Amino acid sequence: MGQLIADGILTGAILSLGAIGVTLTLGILRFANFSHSELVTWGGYFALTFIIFAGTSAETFGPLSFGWPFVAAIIVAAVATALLALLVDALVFSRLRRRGAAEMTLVFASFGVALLLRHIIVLIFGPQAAYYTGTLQFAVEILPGVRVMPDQMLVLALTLLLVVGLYVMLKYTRLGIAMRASAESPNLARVHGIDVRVVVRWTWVIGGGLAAAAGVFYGLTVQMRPEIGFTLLLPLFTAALLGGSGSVFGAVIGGLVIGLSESLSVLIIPTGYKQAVPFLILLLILYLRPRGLFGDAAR
Amino acid sequence: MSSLLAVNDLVAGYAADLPIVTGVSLTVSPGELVTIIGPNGAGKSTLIKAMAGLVTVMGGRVELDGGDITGIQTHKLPSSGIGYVAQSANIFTTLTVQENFRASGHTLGRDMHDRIAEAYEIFPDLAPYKDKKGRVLSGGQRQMLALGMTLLCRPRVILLDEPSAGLAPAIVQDVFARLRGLADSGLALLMVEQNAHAALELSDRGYVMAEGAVKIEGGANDLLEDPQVAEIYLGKRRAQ
Repeated sequence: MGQLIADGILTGAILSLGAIGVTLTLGILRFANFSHSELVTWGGYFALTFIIFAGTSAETFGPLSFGWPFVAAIIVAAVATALLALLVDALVFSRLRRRGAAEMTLVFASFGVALLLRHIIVLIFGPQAAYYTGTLQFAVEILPGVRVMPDQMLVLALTLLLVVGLYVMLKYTRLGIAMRASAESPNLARVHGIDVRVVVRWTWVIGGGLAAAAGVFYGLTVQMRPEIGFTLLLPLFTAALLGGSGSVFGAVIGGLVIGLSESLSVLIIPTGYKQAVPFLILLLILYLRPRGLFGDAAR
Repeated sequence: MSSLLAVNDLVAGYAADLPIVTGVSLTVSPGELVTIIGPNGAGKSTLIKAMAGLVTVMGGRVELDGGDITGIQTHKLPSSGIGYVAQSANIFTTLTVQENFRASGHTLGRDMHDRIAEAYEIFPDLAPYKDKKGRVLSGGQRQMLALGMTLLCRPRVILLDEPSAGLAPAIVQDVFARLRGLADSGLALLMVEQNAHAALELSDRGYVMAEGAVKIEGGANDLLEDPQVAEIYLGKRRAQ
């Protein structure tokens, strides 16, 4: 039971990072971007590409499986994924917004972008799984019966750091307040001098950067596969909707709930069915609380 | 007195082939409170939104102090010296009062905190709600916050879309008194109002719009006594 909770928290943390981007897009750009989960995959592969070219260091950080090159790879992946998100917006979504496209048009366009992004990865890297490092790690017993890899603990700590950093940014900085204002009413934000186009660009940058972190953390603690985005699509959206559209705090809680539910579900259903759990939760949210747990109120 | 804001033959609307405003001209001078009245569907709100860059301008010209601001990008309003107070949804309900001020002082830089402190002095009723979400404010408090947010960037002209909408009569008097005070301090105010009588009573001049055009204009007192105004505003027809 304790081990399942630990596994669930780790999965949930990674889902939270991806779900934050989904909820920001829902709140500020006002459409469900089904290509967001592919940014997670691209983030992971950007880091892999950097490691392939830069090589891995023989020296690792204590019990961790990586050294400085991997830290650089995370930063490169975040920047590259943010730029990719901006590029996709410039080529597809912003053009549709300028033409006054309906929300559903943007949603279907995002499906197309998702397919394109996924298959470019397959074309370049092939369909097989890949790993950042071949270093063997031994799990550490942190509580009786609960063993966690050092990399997993670091991923949790970094996720917490990113979430707290984002919360502080949204709550106290000029950009954060502009983002929250634009999410509630773009026109009112414009009236008060906020250039919503700049806010939109920052939304892509932040969402893309966090998606990259999620992809790298997934690759580090599980493995890299071209279909990571497809696998995470439903859990990410369920986490974002559970938390409430536009609520960063909600997305984090949503991610943890989905991660824990998936993990603990194996106590009552066969392991092969655990991926159906987010779908079940999504149905329940839509039926019982369509605005999510923290919709609007927690922005 | 020379006009600060001048609208010449403005044509505007939501669809290219269906203008709602069909050639409106008006002026507002510093220290003037000018009210636009007219029946529902006259195009009053569309006119003021077009001036704020929120509705497409299809023809004509808007000038501020002689400079062309036709079709201005809305986010450039505050830096151009124009404030706009929308009819409803004119504050951010999910942000605190303080955050609302910070959002509206987005472009102010270092002056922002001093200006916000001044805003609390002008609207002391808002100070206890500093850390409360906008959604908990009463209608009157929301209108004061909206006005305070607009004043933060020290505009020369304020456009107001039905500032009395949804307010209790006592609050309306308070809001109107504040607007009169702002005009007396030298600001140019242009407001659209359904509460025609009360608005004209404190205004300097007025325009009566119907079917997308200005039908009558003149001094506020003259309009109040003009039988034609009642006819157009109330939609009555003279017996043939």
